[in-house]
Amino acid sequence: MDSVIKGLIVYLFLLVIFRFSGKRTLAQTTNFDLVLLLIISETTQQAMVDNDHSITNAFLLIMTLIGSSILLSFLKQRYKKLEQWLEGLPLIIMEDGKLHKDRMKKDRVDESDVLNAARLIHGIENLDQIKYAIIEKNGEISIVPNKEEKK
Amino acid sequence: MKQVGDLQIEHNFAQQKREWRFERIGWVIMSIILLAALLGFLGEGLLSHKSTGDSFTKMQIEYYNIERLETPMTISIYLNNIESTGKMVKLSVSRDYLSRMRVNSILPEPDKTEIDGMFYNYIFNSPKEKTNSLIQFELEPDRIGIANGVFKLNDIEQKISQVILP
Repeated sequence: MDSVIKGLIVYLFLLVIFRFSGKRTLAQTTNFDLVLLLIISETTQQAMVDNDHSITNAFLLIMTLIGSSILLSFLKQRYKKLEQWLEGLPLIIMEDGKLHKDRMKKDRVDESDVLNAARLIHGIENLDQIKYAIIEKNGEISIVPNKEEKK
Repeated sequence: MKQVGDLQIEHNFAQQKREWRFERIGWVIMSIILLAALLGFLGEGLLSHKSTGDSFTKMQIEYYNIERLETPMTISIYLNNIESTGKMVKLSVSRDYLSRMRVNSILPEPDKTEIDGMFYNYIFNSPKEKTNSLIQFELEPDRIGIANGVFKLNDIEQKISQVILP
């Protein structure tokens, strides 16, 4: 019983804390973000497993986490508002070649992040070649190039 | 699905604004929790350090009144000019308190332990008539909640109360 409760508490805590931290935290944009993710997973594992290294405990924890995820996916499918709160929404930060600087500031993104994504995905050289830039739910920036550039 | 220019996208700026507000509130909550932890409201720290009596009282207990489950902690008992009866010092600790703890060690190790109703008696050899010493209990709480402990030494009784956090 203890393992199931611990698993549920940790699951809910991580859900809330990553919503607090914003979309870009788990986007793994830098090496340090990856290191941070590893440290968080190690800390979480220690709190959940504690001194109980039995296979039963491992099975229970895995089932709790996967079960919570399945339950949440059902709820998200049924209640769209809940999905919006839990996963967030994509945010347009560049529209028709014009940057929305206020939105970028609030989501802690700057021009270099947009250019970085543009270079990686489309090999775009400068901002003029971008029509739309969107911060997706998972924190990654997707780019829609200008039509002339596509040709 | 909304249409923004040529883009078909699940975009809702009003919801996004609510999300930002939620994030900022979360940052404030996290800052308050971290500050509370630094000050000692969520475990050992400056404000959770307690002491019963002072260095002039015969028995002084130093402890933290907020501890965490399964985290090692120390209860320090200072003896000041305690008269040893028959070259022995007897320290009694309430059974209720110890039943909530895992006793990792007692320093110095008692020469004898006794069960005495609601108390456990720890008997230490003390060759001198008057003893100035320190006894340390290395404990680990194994239940959350409030742990009330009674420590008795000769006719002196001291009570401690600790909150054990999950």
